[in-house]
Amino acid sequence: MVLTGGSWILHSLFSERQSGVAIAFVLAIAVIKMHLVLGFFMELRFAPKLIKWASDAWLILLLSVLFFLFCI
Amino acid sequence: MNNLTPRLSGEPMLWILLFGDIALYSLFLVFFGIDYNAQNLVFRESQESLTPAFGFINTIVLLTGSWFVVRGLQVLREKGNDYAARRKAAGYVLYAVVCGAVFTILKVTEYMFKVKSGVSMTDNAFFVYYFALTGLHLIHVLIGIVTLYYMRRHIERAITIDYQFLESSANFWHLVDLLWIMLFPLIYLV
Repeated sequence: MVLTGGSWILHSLFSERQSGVAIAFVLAIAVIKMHLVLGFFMELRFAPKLIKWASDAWLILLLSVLFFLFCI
Repeated sequence: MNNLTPRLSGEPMLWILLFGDIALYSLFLVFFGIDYNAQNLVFRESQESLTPAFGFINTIVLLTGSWFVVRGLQVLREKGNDYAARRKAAGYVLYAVVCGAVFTILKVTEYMFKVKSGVSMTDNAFFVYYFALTGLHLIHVLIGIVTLYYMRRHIERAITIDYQFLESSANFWHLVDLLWIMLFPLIYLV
């Protein structure tokens, strides 16, 4: 919830000018939140390593693609 | 729970559905990003007409709902088949259902505001994505509410608790949360 608040504050501060850094932070916060939901709510932290690695790889890939599309 | 023994929470086959759903949404967001670059001005102007407060409150509501589901499962795992524990866990799941209902009401209210202000799905590419992605997510929320209803019924009525069923239901609800966490920043913030 704190992270969600953080991303909204970033949006409010930088909404006038399209700041690539602010967008990158907002995207990174979303990916961190997704990592926390997968690990703690969906209990992937107890899952076999392969599944944990696969989900982390997907998150990194998603962040990279979105970063490329929205920030560059 | 033994942290040293790897285990997948819930029904393993459900994870294929969950990962498939996540992958599909990721793909939609990539298409959204491509169109965002192609029609940047249209997307930014349309995005400014949205009310991020709706998205923000809905994120908090969904996260709270997920936390209630996690607490419900924790209570059952700690105290097992005890009647009081079951009642407490069922209560937590009910709170999660309420969160789902609040999300639905807020989303429909937001749609009504948009439609009243003359916005429709056919206006431009941004609103096609906005209505399609959030609408598809809303369908997930409604399915999640039904799942939570059966989860609560199972907690209250089952002779022996089937933890795999409960974990699977909980995971579907967390998927709803996860999809919204993907959607919220891209639709409302970036």
